[in-house]
Amino acid sequence: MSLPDVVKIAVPAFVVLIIAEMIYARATGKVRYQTGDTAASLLMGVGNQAAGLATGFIGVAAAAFAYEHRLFDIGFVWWAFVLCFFLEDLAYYWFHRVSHERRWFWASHVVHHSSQHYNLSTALRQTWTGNIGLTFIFNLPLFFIGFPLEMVFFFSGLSLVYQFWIHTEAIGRMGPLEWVLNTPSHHRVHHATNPRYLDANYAGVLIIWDRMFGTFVREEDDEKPIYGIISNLATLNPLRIAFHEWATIVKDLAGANRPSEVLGYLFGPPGWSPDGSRKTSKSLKAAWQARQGAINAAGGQNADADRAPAHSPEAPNRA
Amino acid sequence: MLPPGLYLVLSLSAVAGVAGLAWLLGFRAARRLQSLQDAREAILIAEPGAQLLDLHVSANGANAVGLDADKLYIVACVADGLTVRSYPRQGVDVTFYERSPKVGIRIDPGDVGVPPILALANNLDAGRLLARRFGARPT
Repeated sequence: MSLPDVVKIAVPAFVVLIIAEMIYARATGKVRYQTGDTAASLLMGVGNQAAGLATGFIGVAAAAFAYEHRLFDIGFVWWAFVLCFFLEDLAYYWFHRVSHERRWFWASHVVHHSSQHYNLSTALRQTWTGNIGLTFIFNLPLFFIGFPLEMVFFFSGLSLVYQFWIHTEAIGRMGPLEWVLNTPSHHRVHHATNPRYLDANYAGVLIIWDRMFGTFVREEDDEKPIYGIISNLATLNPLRIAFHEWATIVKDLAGANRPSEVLGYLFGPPGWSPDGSRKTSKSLKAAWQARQGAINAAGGQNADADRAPAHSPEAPNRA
Repeated sequence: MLPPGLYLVLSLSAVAGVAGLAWLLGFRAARRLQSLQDAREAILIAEPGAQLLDLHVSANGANAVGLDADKLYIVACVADGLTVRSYPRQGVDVTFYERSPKVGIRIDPGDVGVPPILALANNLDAGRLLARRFGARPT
């Protein structure tokens, strides 16, 4: 059974919606765009497609191998489509979570978070090294179970298309849908660097996985997300955006003194260092929670008062 | 289905078209550091413990460079955003830069995410002084 490549089909709609959002941004000022940032994001998207053509065979070969050794012959029956949708979304959740928690995978995924803007063009800021970084391994269990390649790829593509429209500040909250679906509000939290919002909302389509696994954080009205990464890039050059974290890994590995340091630099959390001198999202969040606790204990009215300068839109994110 | 080459050309054309429209719509904001205080605040927000011994804002406001006892700080404007990173002093290559009419110091942190920056001075004398302050080696 042949299923459509929904990402390719959706590309013209992506372009039209970005233009519509830019016009909305111009008219209302509620969404931020910057020409250089947008161009960089879109070029990363084009590069992602080109890289997919060049390296996609790695993931397809792995999927085919897994499917060759499948446990069941599921085929294209209706219930398999339903089950595959849920399992693919669950696999996406873990892929995404591990991509934030382990540096090897973060080296690819950081690209998507490297813009200090949050608009529809940010959705297209995608990695060039996903296949080389073996990010496809998270879907392999589905092929081992026996879901056909076309079906899994179809739902992967559908998930990517779904996630496009949630990269916007133009949409507020969506009522009861917020309970089940990943929405713009949930995903703004995911892209934020505010300590309160770190390591949260990894969902693809369904936010239920975050609620189940304890990583759900809601967007607070009094704390506007500050987008980017903990230590933002100082470049819009697509090549630098694509490879900066890999280059830093190589540099760190060159200075490693023990096998444990090699493992830490490769598979520890982003920001891991042997002496703990660098900041990880966990340490930033812990420091924030400690500050909050201290302020609350002292009877402070605004537990977040000390964050005000850091979260002014004009201020940089923490290095 | 389109051949990959044509798909690429169409995609790049779309990028150019969207970026051009963004420019026409006026999304051209470029961040600039207005003062030493601007740069100092940016560094202190990023690294609250920084004890700055010296700080220079580039004459064009595009970046700033600061020193404390063992770290060098770079504050760089990127589009309408700002980035602050710190490095061990000895790990950063600082050189005197003079290519008329620009004079100042070139700072290369050896970081793919932060390209070398030019921290400019207003004139040659100020540039030489800046180079001494930040221990720049001659080119």
